[in-house]
Amino acid sequence: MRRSRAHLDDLLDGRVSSGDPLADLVAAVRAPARPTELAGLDAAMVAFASAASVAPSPEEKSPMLKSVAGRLLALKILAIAAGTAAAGGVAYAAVSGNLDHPNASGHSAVASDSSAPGSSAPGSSEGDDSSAPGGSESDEPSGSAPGSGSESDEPSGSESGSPSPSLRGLCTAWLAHPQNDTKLSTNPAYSVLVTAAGGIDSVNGYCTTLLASAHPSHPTHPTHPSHPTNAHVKSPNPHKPTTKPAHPSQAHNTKSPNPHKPSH
Amino acid sequence: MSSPAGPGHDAAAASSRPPELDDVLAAARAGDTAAFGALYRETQPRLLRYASSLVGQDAEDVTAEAWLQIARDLPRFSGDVMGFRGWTATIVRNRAFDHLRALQRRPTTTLEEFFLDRAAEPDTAVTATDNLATSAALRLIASLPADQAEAVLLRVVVGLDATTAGEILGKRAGAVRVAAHRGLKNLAKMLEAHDSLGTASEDD
Repeated sequence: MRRSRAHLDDLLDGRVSSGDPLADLVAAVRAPARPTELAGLDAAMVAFASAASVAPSPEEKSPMLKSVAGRLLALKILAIAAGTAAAGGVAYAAVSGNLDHPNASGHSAVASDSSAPGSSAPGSSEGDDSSAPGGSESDEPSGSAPGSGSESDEPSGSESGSPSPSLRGLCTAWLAHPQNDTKLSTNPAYSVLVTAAGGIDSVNGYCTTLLASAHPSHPTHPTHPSHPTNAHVKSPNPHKPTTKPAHPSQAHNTKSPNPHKPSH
Repeated sequence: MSSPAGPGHDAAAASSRPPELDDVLAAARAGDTAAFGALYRETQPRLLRYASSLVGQDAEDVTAEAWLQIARDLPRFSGDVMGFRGWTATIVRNRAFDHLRALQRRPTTTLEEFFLDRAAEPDTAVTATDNLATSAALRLIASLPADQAEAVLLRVVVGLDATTAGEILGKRAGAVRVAAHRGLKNLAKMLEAHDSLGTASEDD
């Protein structure tokens, strides 16, 4: 069977869905994810939440404004995924470490390891990796607007004593699981969350409340560089930006770039 | 956000990057754990299958290690979804070869030798996915000459464009295209000769 270059390019790009054995082979390696292929989801999410709590990026808030839709999409994907995984029944069993799979214990170790991201310090062999993410951006500017500095000091500036980003991340991971909580509770990665919630039975309510309250009041807007008007929002105490949470959308609602925020 | 809500129901399978995934990537970079989970779901099957072709049944361990690094370094990553795939594939590739070096204690072993070693044990080469057709197809790709195999893997399995794949392999996009085309043609010959996905050929 002769194949034109254009046809081969179509195969490489996945634009040929079927019709010959080679297309079938391409389709096979691009098949939808199997539940077992996603068994490490929990460990990865917990690692991500832990890393975020240890080293919050100064840039953390700025992309949030434009990515609200992305976040909602992500939640939708996770919700769908959770249903799929429950049907599969296998994917999340690795969380409990009870799965009689040779790699299950390995995943548990990974999860607990992730609570100390420093232990997974980049080895010398990762030199090639570090160049890709753009090492020069390690000190990302979070915007030059005066007052933006106050945002980077405390991620949850609008709520004193509010939970850390890692708890929000752990809650997101926790709520992605439809099955009973006792399995999750055996994962040491969630021990912080269970403690914070005051017990295993309280985690669902705690997380639902936390995520519902954290998102709409998230102080993302003031640091967005494309809204310089935030810098002019009058602050009741402009000389102490670090102790006064800059939250223009509350302090001066008429200037808020997005006064109608999602209510969930 | 200006990204159009396209017909993305099968977006993950397409090589072209779905625009909404850039929003998810941006949210994950900003620390959104749910978005990070969505990225994982979109990316991990690609990485796991790629790693399966490199290290066989140790692919899950390799990708799990890779995700720890991804989770740690994502806030410092800059780029779009294609760049993210390329970055994560690079991490998996480096960890896979570290793993093989440690396993075989041959620090100077070349990629070609890895592929030769693996071809000697085709039945254990790909076991990380429980999809038999996927495993068989990956095994067949892995039996190609190394340059063709990696070009096909990065283009088809990981979903990179030729330019991004070339950056990983240290080649120009044109060279990746040629290698991938040759790989596909060889795969077609194998398929025609054996008329079955389940039979890995060692012809080339």
